[in-house]
Amino acid sequence: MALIVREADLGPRKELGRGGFAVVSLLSQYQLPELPGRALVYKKYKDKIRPVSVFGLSQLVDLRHGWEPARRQQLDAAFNWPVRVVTDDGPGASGVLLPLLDPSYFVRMTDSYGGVHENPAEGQYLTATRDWCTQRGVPFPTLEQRYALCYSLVRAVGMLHKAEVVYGDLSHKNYLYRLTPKLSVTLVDCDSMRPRGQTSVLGGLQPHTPDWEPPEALAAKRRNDGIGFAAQNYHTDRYKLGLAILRILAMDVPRAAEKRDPDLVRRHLPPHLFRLLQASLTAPPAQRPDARTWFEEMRR
Amino acid sequence: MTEMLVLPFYVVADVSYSMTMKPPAVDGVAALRPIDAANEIVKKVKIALENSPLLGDKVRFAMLDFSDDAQVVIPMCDLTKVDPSQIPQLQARGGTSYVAALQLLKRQIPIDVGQLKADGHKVHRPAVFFLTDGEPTDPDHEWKASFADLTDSSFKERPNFIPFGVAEAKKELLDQLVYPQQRMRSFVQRTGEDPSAAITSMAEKLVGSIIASANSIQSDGMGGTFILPDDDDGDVWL
Ligand SMILES: Nc1ncnc2c1ncn2[C@@H]1O[C@H](COP(=O)(O)OP(=O)(O)OP(=O)(O)O)[C@@H](O)[C@H]1O
Repeated sequence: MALIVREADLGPRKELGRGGFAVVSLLSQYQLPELPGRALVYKKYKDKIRPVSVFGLSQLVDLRHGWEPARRQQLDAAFNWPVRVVTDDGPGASGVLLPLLDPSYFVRMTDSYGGVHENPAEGQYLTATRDWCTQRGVPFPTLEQRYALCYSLVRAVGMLHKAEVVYGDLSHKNYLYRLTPKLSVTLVDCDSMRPRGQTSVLGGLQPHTPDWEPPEALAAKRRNDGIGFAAQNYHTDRYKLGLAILRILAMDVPRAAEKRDPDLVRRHLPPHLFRLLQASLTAPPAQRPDARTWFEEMRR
Repeated sequence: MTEMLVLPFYVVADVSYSMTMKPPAVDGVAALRPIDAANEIVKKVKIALENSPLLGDKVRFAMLDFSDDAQVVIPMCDLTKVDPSQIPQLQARGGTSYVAALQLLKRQIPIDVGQLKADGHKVHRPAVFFLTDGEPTDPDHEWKASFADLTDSSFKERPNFIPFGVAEAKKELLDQLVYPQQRMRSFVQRTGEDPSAAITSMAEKLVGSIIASANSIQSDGMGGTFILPDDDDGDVWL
């Protein structure tokens, strides 16, 4: 499949933001036939992380392309999935094309000088205290809203694992949330996901965000086992899903973003879900509940 | 309660009179005086910290200025807790004594680190972002001795030191103010560029460094390091 495009063919672009590894720009004229009217961005990798494997990225892009349209639509809503691999004259891939994030996934906040910012609504804001939110004019979601966001996250991870892809570096910076028009989350930074049986093209850069390491990764680190530390699989995704749920539901707890103790939210969860959370965070890796189980139990 | 690791950042700003020189207007837009650009640094850092609930707790910030003498302008603090109206502005005065700045740092750092520890924190090695627009007015051997003293391995809290030079500052000289030499670097403006624009770029580097460093911290204090951002805008700096 020829899901690779040349950077030179992308036309004009305008920088939107930059991260540690990439510069993201809006393509003002470039469109894809199967996504009519959908604005696209070009995420271009910085030289320091190149070469990035064209083959590896193509696996992800091709996988998406192979789904039937209804399924693809569902996954596209839950993931900022790469739609093309981009190459230039340099080695490997120069980057990927991604759908532009929907404005509903941005949150407006006011700084102490009165300046207004539109930031991607990263999950980190769900771990902020009520005071923090009030000072900045950021909505502080109710427990019901948080519950719905967890449900959406559970559903996303479930779909992903069903598609046999490991997310990898789940963290409060890698999913965005919105309260309207529909309570939901969407996962970003999807170019480092890995189809099962493959290695991640970018996963070596940061296998686990600090404070998101599963216990087996921390144990590996203590033994100086770098490979064990870096392992990302369904089990590590399940642990991080549990952590995300804990931290989203903690609600107005200072430094919720660092917490790992399920007891913190015992009062916010019915017993059958509390048991799932406990198992996610304390059971041996192979016994952590999968997203499908969460999904079914949350619907009960 | 586990101890929280905090990262202390210092901005040390040159406030010699030359920092108030107005550069020529570009395309009819009046350029900022370097000192005004320097005053914006604090605001940028504060806003970046305010924008994330994960950062404020992990970062401490202080600003010192220097001319013929040096002083603490903003004492080591959690900037997110300070009201903007309380933040003092830099004022220009006199010459350019690196010795005054370096000696003040040597006195101030142990005091600040001691205070943070007394408040129950683990404290990372501080990082100093040093801004100057010219050559020191002290004799060479004197500022060299002060720098050696500040970064001597017997000084436990010796800081990472990243010098930024604008306007008349010289690369050869500022390269001697890098510590540690292998891991840090100097940033010196290319000749003919607007010093204020370079100071704005320095602020971005500082913010990038603060965010990347704070994000590398684990709450158990096991991990975390000072990260210097890479040079994305290679056209600004030598
Ligand atoms: N699909 C998108 N639509 C709009 N903006 C985007 C999109 N993807 C990324 N961005 C913007 O670009 C910025 C940088 O992107 P991103 O965080 O993915 O880069 P990165 O180098 O992988 O980041 P990090 O250093 O956080 O790992 C983001 O903060 C975001 O504001």
